[in-house]
Amino acid sequence: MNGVNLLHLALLAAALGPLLSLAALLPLAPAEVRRAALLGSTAMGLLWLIDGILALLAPAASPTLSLGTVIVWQFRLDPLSAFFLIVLGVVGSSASLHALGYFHNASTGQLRRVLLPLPLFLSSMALVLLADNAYTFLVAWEGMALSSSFLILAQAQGARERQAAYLYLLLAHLGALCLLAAFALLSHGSPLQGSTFSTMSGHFLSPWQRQAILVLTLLGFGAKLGAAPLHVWLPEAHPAAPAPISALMSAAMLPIALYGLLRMDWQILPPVGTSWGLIWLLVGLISAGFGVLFSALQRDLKRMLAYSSMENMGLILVAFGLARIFAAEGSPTLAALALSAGLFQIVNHAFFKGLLFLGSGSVLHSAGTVDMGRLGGLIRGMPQTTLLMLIGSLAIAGLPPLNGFASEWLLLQAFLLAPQSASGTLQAILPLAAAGVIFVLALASFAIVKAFGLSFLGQARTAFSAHEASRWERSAMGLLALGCVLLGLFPGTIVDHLQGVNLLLLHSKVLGSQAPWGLTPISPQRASYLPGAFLIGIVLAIVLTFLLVWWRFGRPLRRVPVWACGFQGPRSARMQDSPAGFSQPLYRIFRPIHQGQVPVGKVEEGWQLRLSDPFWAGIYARIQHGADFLSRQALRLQHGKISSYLLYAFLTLIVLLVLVQ
Amino acid sequence: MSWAAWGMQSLQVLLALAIAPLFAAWLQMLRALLQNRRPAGLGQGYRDLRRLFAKESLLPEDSSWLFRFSPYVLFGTKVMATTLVPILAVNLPLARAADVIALVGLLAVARIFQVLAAMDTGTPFADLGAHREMLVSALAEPALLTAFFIASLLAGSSSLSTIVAHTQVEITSLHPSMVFAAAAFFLVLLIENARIPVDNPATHLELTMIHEAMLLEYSGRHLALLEWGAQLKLLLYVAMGIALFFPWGIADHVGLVAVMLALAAFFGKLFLAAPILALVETLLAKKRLFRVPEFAASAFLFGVIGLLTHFMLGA
Repeated sequence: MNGVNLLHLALLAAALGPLLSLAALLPLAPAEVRRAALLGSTAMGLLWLIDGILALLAPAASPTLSLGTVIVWQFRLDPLSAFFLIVLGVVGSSASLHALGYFHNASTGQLRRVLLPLPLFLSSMALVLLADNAYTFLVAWEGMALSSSFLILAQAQGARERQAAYLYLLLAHLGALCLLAAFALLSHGSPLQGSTFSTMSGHFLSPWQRQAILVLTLLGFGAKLGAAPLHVWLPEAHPAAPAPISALMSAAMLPIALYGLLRMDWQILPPVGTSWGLIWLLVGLISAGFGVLFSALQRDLKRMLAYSSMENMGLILVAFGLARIFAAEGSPTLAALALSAGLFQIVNHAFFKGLLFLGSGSVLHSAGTVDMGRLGGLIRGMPQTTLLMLIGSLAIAGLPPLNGFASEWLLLQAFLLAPQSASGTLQAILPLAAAGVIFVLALASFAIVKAFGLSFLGQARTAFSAHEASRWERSAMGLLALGCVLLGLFPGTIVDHLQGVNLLLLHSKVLGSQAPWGLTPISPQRASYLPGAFLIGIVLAIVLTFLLVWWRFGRPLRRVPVWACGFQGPRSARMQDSPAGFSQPLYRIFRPIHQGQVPVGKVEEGWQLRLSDPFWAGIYARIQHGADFLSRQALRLQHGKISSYLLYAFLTLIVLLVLVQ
Repeated sequence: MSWAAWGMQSLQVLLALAIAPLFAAWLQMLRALLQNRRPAGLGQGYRDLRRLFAKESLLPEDSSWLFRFSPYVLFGTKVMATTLVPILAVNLPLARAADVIALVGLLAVARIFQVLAAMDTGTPFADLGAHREMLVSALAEPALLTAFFIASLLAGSSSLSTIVAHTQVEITSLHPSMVFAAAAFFLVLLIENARIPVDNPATHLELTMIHEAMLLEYSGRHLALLEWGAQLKLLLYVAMGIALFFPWGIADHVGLVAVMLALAAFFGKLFLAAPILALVETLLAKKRLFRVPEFAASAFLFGVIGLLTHFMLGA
């Protein structure tokens, strides 16, 4: 299939979205509507997935298309779009598939509230990726924000969910305003005229305009991807939304903000110096550190995953920042290495975060809660889900030979290769950043081990009877888990196929080609990693050990009551660690950052933690107080006397007249 | 890759497996002597293992397959790790499969399965051990990686084989950053192997337990595997330290003389390493648990200072 057809196919799939939304309104039985709309969404996702893969394989074709005459819609499919289309396809199809089981018992009304905005959300995400001018981009971007805020509200039961959606919409619009301003600067004041991205990149910009665009895009896209301090909506919105939606938002929508950053700051703007690389690096590092610390302290599974998404986005931003630094310092090969690490991490995040969010939905349905302090022992009620979640957890913890490790390995290699080109300041900052990244990675495995262990192992902390997830849910999660394993075993294939993106963004010769089953970024003498050999070695060692021990000492095993150091009294599930208990040492160490409190009093639910976000107290609360103050002042104007209102009108008229003169 | 190299690879694993209990016993013996106790002898490690293997294994009532299979996973990953460290020779067949970062990842696999197995029992002690272990290792793992980073930066490679070969050639120069790396590595060795200022596996006190708390529910052959695995891990860490900081004698090709020399050198270094460890463990007291994160953080700081030294001084 040639390039033009691929673009058409992607757009056709996107056009399916509105149709599916209409289908949700049809007066059919809920089950049929559900099946039609969600299978349709799955098909959309699959089309994008296949389309993206084919486009990435196609040699250097980036077809364009324009529609309309007065307002021109322009589209393009280049390797960067194709790559993110794959990510969207993976998450979109699996989340839709999962939703088939997840919404099995939903009422018609609830179902409509999801099925109406969901396909629109998917389509608008695809259109953001395919857009080739500011107008198309911004319309799709807004569509994405609006439809997703409706999705957050789909299960709204109280003020909390509505607040989450409101906060999300507020930050999304502030972000969109920044983007509008950035596009206005880029296109010399007329962002909505039909100049394509490539003509925009030819525009002359003064240095301050460039700096302003960089700041505006960082704010605009940063608000979407949850970069600190614009992350506050993230931990509220993700737990509020139904699980498949959280998966979509976290694993597909957040990366789309990264797409925007790459597109605007990297491809359209001419290359910038080291300093912006450093800014990205620092913003990423702060977000990652903050996200991982808060994710380790959570007791709600979905909030924990939301913070962990923030951490992942931060790490990817670190990789991109590093790539920019290397590019500015004149080592394109290293830049390609760091860029590949970031992109690889995006794909990995799509797989494992999608899997974990979907799994949290199945847990919610099965146990009725995602509070780790109430869960426990799910491994007995839902063994298959547990196994899939274990794979996802090990992958996100960055354990070899799964996929999370491969991208972390690449990122660390990029840091290790740094000194050859580094200048004075960088020599101090890069090692510290490397140490910071390593620490973040270590804490990330703390967070996920806590979440998995408390939820799935041990005894159930409250009475519930867990049941296995439905076939749809398990197959969606199974496919993602399979992806985690395969991406981990064939990292070379992935890195090789990222070459097109690297070439587009770095404009030069990039990494040498890799063997599909391994990573050898520079040379085998420098570093190499062969996950296949690794896996075979581990499996062989384990199986041999097992067989030898069984053959020599094998005797039937006997089940006995737990010993627990000889404790004879009545044992209750409450004697296990609570989420707060598990992370208590961390809580103590990082108290200056999270300013948490332990409320003293009746301890019904175990040792509870109350955390406060320093960014909220430091920035948002002040803005809130300021706004409150201003609105109170404004209230003085309103006191019900007609005469003074007439005076206001008169004064306003005079002021306007003076201004017009 | 020749048969000789594969033979060497297997020899290295078998050697490590065989002498791990011996090394642990030698360490115990030195500690006993330093503390004016009568040592149990060098065979004690083997006797303990044989006794445990012969005993019946019990499973706690509600434990899942994770509990049952974790000992094999732990032991298997540690065996795999011994193939990756150049104990006797560099450039063995599996050296390409993983570098130091992957080695740290492999050790993390073992640790996470151990923690999950502990949480699987659902007992308070095991949970205590689990979260302490995760916390301490969250601080120790970065320290270990930064120590490896320093060596990698000096050798221009993160492959252990290349690092060893590089240090062997650069025999005369002493790098200040490597001193910091060594300090960080030594602290991590104490932390990760449950040695005394951090943990004391010889006691069963709730206040102090980390490693042992996670094993409380294990018995029989499972416990034997875990104990043997712990001994193997200690040996592995010592071997990693030798490879990073004292690599002289490790064979650069597979020949009879070179291998004999490497064997002799390895035994010699092990013989000398044990007294250092025994002395540290005898002279230091067990730290309060709250101080352990500080201890681990100081290891991390040593690593970071080493990295900075390397970048600033270029050495």
